[in-house]
This record gives sequence, structure tokens and C-alpha cells, in this order.
Amino acid sequence: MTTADEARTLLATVDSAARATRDARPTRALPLLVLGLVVLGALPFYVLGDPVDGVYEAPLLFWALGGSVTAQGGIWTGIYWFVALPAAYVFIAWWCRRAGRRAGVAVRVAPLAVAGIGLLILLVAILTQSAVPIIGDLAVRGLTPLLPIAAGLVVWAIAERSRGLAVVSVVYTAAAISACLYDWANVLPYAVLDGRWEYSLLPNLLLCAGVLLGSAAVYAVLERRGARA
Amino acid sequence: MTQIENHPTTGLDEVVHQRARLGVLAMLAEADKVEFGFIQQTLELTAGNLSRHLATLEKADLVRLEKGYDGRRPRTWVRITAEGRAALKQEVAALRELVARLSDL
Repeated sequence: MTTADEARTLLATVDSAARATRDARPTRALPLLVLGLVVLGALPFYVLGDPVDGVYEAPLLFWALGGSVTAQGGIWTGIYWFVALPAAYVFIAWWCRRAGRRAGVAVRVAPLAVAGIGLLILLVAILTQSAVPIIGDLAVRGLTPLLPIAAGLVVWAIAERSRGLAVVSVVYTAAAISACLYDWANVLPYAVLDGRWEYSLLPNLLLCAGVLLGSAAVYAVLERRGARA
Repeated sequence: MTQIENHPTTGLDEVVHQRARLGVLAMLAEADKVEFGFIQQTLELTAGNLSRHLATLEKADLVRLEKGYDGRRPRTWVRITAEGRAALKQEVAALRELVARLSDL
């Protein structure tokens, strides 16, 4: 017959064994940090200005991801997302795999990369097949590349069965959808942009980058505290 | 339903209701897969002892073993199955209920 003390001892074993694995697995802060930096890196491309020569003659593929709206970035906006996002996912997958092998605790990060890159390709396919009405107003601000990141985070949270990642993915998805549909500059005090309309899309990007970088910071602190305990 | 059928110990699984095997499942539930050496070190078991526990869990379809190489070094990775995850959940729930009931006495 199992006594209450035996049952408590077994539950304590479950807790300590689970904690040891959580502390040893590759940090979840790094993927969030890298994706946050990719969003931050897009800031210069979203400074609005006069149309750049040749932007409308550029291949549809490149301006579909934002170039048509952000004239200052031109086709480089699309090129940036098309290079930076897959590169970030490849780096994240490589780093997590290497860290997992070294620690002896592997995590499922491939779904994040596969969903992120897959949905980026799907997005390009939709935008370049003159099917823009399907996603309607979402494409107006040229910030649609924020959406595959959201989808990747949702898939990652499901694959990892993590409530923390689920919260991050829901908050980021809300931020990304709102960034595509609304000008967050409207809610800022006038003094912040001081009438400089060319920077009016930057608060949208900063909101999404802030969610990712803030989540990375929270994970880094929690994981460090867990490792010390 | 009789009191015995209602008792939380009836929810305890013979295969899982054991410190080392419960520890293994708890570790595996937190990751995609965990390396043999890391489990051995964390649960402070000998290699032979852990191998026997893993064989029992594998026979019950609660874990899957993957043998491979890291360079020249052979490494064994262990992964929890859906059945293993369910067994762990059930065992932890039964243990919690047992503690709650016995603490009330």
C-alpha cells in the first residue's frame, strides 16, 4: 500500500526530474531574440518617402512582401524579409539542435522553422497570384511578413506543449494582426513623431519587436532563476 | 461502486509507479528527446539499472529508444510516446489524489 509520504516522495521526484530537464534544454529566449532582431532590422525599410525609381518595374516577388507600400525601402524590403527570415529560422534550428545535443536534451524547434518559412512562401504565392483581396486590408501596410512569424510561434507552442509559448504566440499574433490593420502611430502623443509622417509605420514594427524581445527577456530571467534554484 | 474501486491507488500503474521510471517519464515529458547519459546522471542511476527501467518502459510502449552516433561516440536518445505521456498524467493525478485523501485522515 502506498503511504502519503511515499506518494509525496514520488511527486517530488517528478518535479525535480522535470525541472532538471527544463533547466538543461536549449533556452527559448534565443529564438524569440533572433526573431525580434529580424523585425527590428526591418525598421529602415519602412521609413516612408517618395517612390524610388524602378520600384514598380521590380519583380512582383520582391515588392509583394512590403516594397509596394514602403517606397523608401523599395524592392529591398521584400528582399530583406525573403533573406532575413529564412536565415533566422535556419540559424535558430541549427543553434537549438547543437545546444540540445551538447546538453543531452533535444527540443522540437523544427516546427517553428518549417511553419515560418512555409507560410512565408505561401504568403508570397498569395500576394503574387493577384489574390490580394483574399487577405484584404492585411496587405495594405506591407507588414504581412509579420504574420508568418506569428504562425511559426503558434506551431512551435503546440509542438512544445508550452503554456508560456502559447501566451507569447497569442500576444504576438494579436500585435502582428493589429500592426497590419492599424497605424499605431495614431495612439502615440503627437510629440513622439512630431508630424514626421515618414516614421508612421515604425511604431507597428516596434510593437511586434517589443513583444518578441520582451518575451525573450522574460524567458532569459525565468530560465536563469530556474537554473539557480 | 465499492470503496476499493473508488480508492486512488486503483489509478496507479504498476509499470509507472516506481521512482526511477516515473522520473524518466517526467524528464521525457519536458523535451522532444533526452540522452541516456543525462537521464542517468539526473536520476543518479547506474547504466545497467537505467537500461532495465527503459526496457520495461519500452516494452509497455511508454518510451521509444533511438540509438545513434555523435561522431564516433555512440549515444542513445529516449523519447516519450503518447501512451507514456498519458500514463504519467494519470499517475501524477492519482498520487495527488492519494496525498489529498490521506492528508485529510
